[in-house]
Amino acid sequence: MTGDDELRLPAVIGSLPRLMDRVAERARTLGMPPERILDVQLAVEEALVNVIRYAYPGGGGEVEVRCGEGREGGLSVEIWDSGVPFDPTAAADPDVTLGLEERPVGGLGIYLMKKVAESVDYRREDGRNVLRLVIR
Amino acid sequence: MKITWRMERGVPVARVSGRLDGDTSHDFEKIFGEGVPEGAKAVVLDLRDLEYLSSAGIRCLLVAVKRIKGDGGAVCFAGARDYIREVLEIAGLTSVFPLEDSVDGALDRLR
Repeated sequence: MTGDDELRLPAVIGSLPRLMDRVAERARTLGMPPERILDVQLAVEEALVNVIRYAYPGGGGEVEVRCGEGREGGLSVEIWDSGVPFDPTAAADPDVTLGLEERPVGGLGIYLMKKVAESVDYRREDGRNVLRLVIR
Repeated sequence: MKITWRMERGVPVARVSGRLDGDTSHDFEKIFGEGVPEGAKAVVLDLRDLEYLSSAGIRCLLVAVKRIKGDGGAVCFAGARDYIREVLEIAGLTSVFPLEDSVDGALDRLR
């Protein structure tokens, strides 16, 4: 990744707008079209909300985003947290063919993220979760 | 995120504007829940000014629709932009949420 741009904030919902703005701003400077920037925001929000809700069962942790231009082109976003180890790429896809009555109200986030991003990769590094999204 | 209510052909229409995401979904649940007229048999969600929708937003839409249906009412979405439609499609919800191009179309469907 080149030209890293980092922002680290408390892992709370109130941090979402600033983190999302930073990522959207970076996508704009790369010249991405507005529709694609919405996809960027969607993928990144799903990843962030996941960390905010589940990474720190006792509360009090931080989440960090690092944006850059991907080696393969497009925008690369890494989401770092020091919470419980969790690999979102291993989560099973929800059944999106169910009717309203059978449909659970949650479980869509990771699925949407995987659908709109070109690639989603997870790794553990220095005791932290790192999720890397590439959106072109 | 903002919700404006009006009556059209005797049906409550909620115009949702702005962003429906992890940051605003809690507000939506509260404001929408308070705005639905008691015992409403039909509700239209006018989405033409909805700019962004994430899974947290979809979640609160599902909760709202299920609640109205649970009370014996019907819901129709109207005027969603291409992007919003695309997100609903990926989530497999265009088959679950009736979606019309215009509020008029939604009102016709609910008649």
